[in-house]
Amino acid sequence: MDLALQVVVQGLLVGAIYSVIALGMGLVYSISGVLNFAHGDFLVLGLYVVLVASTSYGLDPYITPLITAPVMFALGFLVWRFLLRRVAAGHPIVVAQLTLGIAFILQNGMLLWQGANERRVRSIAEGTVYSVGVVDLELSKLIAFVTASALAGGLFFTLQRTDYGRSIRAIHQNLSAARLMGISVKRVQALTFALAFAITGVAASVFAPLVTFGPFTGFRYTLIVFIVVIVGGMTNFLGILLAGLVIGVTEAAGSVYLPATYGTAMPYIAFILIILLLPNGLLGRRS
Amino acid sequence: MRTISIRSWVQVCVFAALCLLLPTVVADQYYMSIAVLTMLVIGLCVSWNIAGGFAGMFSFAHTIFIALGAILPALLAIHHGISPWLSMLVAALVSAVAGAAFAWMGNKFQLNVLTFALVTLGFAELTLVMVTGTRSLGGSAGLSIPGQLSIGGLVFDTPSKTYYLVMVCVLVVLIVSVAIRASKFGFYLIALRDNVSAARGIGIPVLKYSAYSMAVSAAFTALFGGLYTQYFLYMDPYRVASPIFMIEIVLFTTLGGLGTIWGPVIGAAVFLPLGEILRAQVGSSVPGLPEILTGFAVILVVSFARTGLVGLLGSLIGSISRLPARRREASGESMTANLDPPERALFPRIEPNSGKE
Repeated sequence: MDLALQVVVQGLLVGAIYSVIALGMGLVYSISGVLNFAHGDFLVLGLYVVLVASTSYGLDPYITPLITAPVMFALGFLVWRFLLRRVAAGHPIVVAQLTLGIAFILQNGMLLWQGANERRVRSIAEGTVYSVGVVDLELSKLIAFVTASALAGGLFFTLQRTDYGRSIRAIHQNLSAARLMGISVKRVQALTFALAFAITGVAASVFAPLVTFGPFTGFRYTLIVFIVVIVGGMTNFLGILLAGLVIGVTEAAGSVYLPATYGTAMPYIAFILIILLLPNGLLGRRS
Repeated sequence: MRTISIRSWVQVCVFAALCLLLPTVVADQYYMSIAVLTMLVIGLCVSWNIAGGFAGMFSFAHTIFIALGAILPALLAIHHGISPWLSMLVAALVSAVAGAAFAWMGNKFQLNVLTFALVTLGFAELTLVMVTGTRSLGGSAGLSIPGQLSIGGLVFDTPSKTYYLVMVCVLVVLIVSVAIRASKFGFYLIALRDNVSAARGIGIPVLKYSAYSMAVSAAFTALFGGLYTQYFLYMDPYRVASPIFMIEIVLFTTLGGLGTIWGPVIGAAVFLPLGEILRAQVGSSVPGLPEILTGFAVILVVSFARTGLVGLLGSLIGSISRLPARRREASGESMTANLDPPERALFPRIEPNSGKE
């Protein structure tokens, strides 16, 4: 029972990060219909930026959001404006292929830049563990959880309470009507893309101390984030949030209760089961 | 009602002629081996296209069929000395049933294109995990194939010989593909692809035809998976059981022209040798550069040739061969109107908010 509790807690902590990254992808999808197959690779790019900041400039990962957020923000804007905007109206699978091309470039660019070896990032919080009852909580995971929750909270607040957030929802619900209402669709789309990337950048900063990564680990994260988005109901942000936690817990459970290689399959099994039973996601489609 | 046009036959014959001529121009066994690899991947792309392109069953589950075609003959040959041809046939039949099962699953749970794609991708990932995690299936080291492929006394031990064998198989699946496209079966598949609800409303038996398309596609995929492994004499799980390979196949097909007959052929024929040769020339000195260039090529093709290379070629040929086209333009027909079939935008948008079916 103790082990189960530990598994659930660990899963929730990591799942929150998955949620936030998936929220970024969900945001991008709802605003433009683009399925970003390179999302995981952008996350890994963020991780590498954190690595370089840490090893070459001695910056602690938890300071790097000051770097990763603007860099990713700019990157998101550029990718949307110059690569994706032209083709976003086409067939979704074809657009996804373009993001796949971007993924190739990112992965191999990082290979060229930093080499093929798996890397780790050190941080202040490393090694600090708190014991609460029977559960051990690593500080790095706690920080990640709190940051992710704050980001998610900020995102929800923006969506519900600000005009900008309302314009996002309007565009998602009916693009033409939104345009007729005077919303500058172009501007909102570009801004949202950039924002989604910035969120991913901040997530990368707090995620870096938790994982080892190489140039090609992006695909794995892309898949997990895809699963979370689909299980969450594509555009239902609350659903995505919940789905991230669920997938986090399943992954933790899989790695503990199943033998090594099979453990990594747990999220996929969970995904297949959930989506067959609830094709519109955990909480349905409506956002 | 099978009416394959003369035009299609001519195209197939031209393709066959080009393929037959290739070995006479290429003497170097190294380039021949690239040619064999290209042929194998063309076969896989054309097979996948029957389900993914014609019927809109965007499936990554084909990884399972490739794996079946690769592993079953290997295991049966190693442990029981059974001829790979027989086991490839068995693998094809099993894959056909499995393919139909996936079609059933898609139908039963009313999965839209995207969800079906991702569920099958989930299965593909599972396949990799299962294969690499199970020692008797080769684990992560894979399996070594005991003997070369042979028919009667003829042993396929050189790339040139294997090339002819694979070429014949590719021609077979191409003719099947052409025949399907020209038949009522093919029409039903296109209807399924474009609008399942409408197809159902007209009375097309959705389950039956999507199952047939997956079955045919799966069987051929298994065949080429087997040929692939037998040629390399090594079952590499990180190739044949990997969703990454599947994604490449889908990528080549899409870049060439999803849902067309020659799209998968052109896509594979252009991008695979490009990648291989780039990798050989540049890959050792600058690792990753070939893939970066491939990525750029992908972006270029998607940005400027929305319906794939086939569409691009079509409009090029159309604009050259129909220079006195003023009358046509005035009558509203597009430059590519004479291409069979008219290649409009191929798929409906995936509606984010629709409850689907």
